[in-house]
Amino acid sequence: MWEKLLGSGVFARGSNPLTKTILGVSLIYGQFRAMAVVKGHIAGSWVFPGLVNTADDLRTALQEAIRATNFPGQLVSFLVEDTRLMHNYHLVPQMKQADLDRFLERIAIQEKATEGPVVWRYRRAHQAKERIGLLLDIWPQSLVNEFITVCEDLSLRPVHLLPLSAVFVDQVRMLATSTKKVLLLVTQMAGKVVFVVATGDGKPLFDRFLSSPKDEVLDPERIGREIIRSVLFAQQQLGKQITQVWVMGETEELSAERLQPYVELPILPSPMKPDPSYWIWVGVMLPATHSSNFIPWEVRTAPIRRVVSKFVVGMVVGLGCASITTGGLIEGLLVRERGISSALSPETQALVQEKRDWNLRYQTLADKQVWVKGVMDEEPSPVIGWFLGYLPDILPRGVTLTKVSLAVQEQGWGLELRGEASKDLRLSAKALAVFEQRLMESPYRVNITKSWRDTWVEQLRQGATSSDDQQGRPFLIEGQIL
Amino acid sequence: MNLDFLQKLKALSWASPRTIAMGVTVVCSVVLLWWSLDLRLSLIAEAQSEMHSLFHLDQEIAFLRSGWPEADAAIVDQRVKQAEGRLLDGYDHLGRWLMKLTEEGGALGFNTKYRVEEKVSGSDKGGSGSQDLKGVQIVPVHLALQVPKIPVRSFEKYMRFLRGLGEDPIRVDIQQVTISGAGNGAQTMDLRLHVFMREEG
Repeated sequence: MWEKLLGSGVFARGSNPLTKTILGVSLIYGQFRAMAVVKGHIAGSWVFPGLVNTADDLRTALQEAIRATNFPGQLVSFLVEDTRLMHNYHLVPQMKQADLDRFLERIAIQEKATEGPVVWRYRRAHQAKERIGLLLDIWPQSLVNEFITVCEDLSLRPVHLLPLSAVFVDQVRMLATSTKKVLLLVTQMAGKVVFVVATGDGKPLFDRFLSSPKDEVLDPERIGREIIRSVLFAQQQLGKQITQVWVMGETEELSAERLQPYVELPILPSPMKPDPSYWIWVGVMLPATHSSNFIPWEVRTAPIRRVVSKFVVGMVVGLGCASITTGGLIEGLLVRERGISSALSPETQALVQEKRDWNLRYQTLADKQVWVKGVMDEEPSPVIGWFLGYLPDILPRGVTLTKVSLAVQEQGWGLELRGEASKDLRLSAKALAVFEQRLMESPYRVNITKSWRDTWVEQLRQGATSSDDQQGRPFLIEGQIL
Repeated sequence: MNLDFLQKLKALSWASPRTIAMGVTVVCSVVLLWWSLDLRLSLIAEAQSEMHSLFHLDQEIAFLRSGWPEADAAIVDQRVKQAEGRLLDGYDHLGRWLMKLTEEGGALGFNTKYRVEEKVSGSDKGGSGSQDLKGVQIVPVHLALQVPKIPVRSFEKYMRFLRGLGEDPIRVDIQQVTISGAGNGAQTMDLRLHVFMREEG
């Protein structure tokens, strides 16, 4: 019946039941049962005829199971119950994670059932009255190593190594009508009666296991008393009221009908009829990150880490080879280029020298041209001689020059003319005006900077008279020939 | 129990010798690549560039050779000789040149006096041109011409002297002329000249 729920999604927490190919194995007190799931479908089941007590037995049983079920995959999930395994419920005060880890380490050492180192896993249960509820599983390290080593020998990849207690709490999710309701699930597995108290969303409050004396059957009254104890414990310690009691996997002794007379709460029979394969299925569908999974992270991620590692090593080797090859090629090229360069070096030097000589020759020619131009072509024009030759031609009658001076200036030539004009003011002024006018005309177009009038005005300022004892009236004209 | 598998898994951790070896390999490879691609490759590029420039050098020389203006060079050389002929060879030549001027002035009836002033380098010749004249120095000379007796038509004689100066084969730049004296009977003419002389030494 439970197979009908495969596609319902109830079990699909952290995995895809439709695509998974995995070998589910339960090892309950040495009884080995395997169930091959191929792409989400049960491909076959197989039970080892004897008991599995050692690593060799486990190796043999796994080999047989793979052959018997024609299992094509590599993933394997273990659900284990053994006398060496410890499962306890603890209520501890709130503390930091590091302190909690140290505390649980100490608890694990104190409570271990075997000699040698142990490993432990825990699940957080409901928190109440500032205390944390913890479901602690303690396993011998050697047992975990056995499973991992056998899987490695058979090229299997272990996904789960779960205690039996890990699978029960999920069943509450299927039974609850509300996520807030608190339920008590009673079921039987491997000769134990299991009491699981959890909220409707599958969060555990606590669990208890009731073992029956060897070859004896627990009577309903005893089980009923344990149910009442669990109800009271939840109420007193956790402040939670259990509202429903479910019995899963009814037998003649363990049935709702036989338990009801001892318990006031309604006891309901679960529609699910679990068999050993059912619990394997539940275990297979749990996520690999389940907090009760004893397969270390290193082992679970080993395949991908191996691939990544090989890829990285390949990349590094490739990089190394590429760098050496590149270096070698470049060195080879460099040696070749240097060989060519050294062979051509004398020729290069000769060509460089020849080019230098030609450049020098051109430069020398250019320098000579400049020099010749400077000596031959840039001679100032003989304006001075021309002007002195021209000057008598424009001098009016009655004007005599006593000093003529021409000097080269930055631009053009500076001119200074001194002389005497007639004593008659009117005549001399007329003659000087004519003279000045002629100077300003072509061809020399003298730019007069100081006129003869300025000289006369200056003389008047200094008190000159017409009766001064002198032959003529002195004047000064200054100008510039551009 | 064979726990090699677990040992191998632990060896995959980051601080393992294998990881360190890989890290060293990566670093060495990267350094080798950098050394090869950055340093050595640039040397190859340099060598190839030299080869390339050698090829271009050959072309450039051929271009320079073919472009050499042989005729122009001959003309320039000829003009250089002509220009050199316009320079005084030195102070000895200057002295002889001044004596010649004095004689020419005397022939025109002038008392001629001269004063040689501090020379100017041809490459810093100021108002005598703008071009750099290496190997040429300019000697400023002050000439004073005077009529000893009563001047008669002396202005015309001064003009003749100036014309002769302008026709002199030696490069002479007249910087200043001052003629003093009334009218045609001017008594003195001061000349400030720049005479071009070959640089000595």
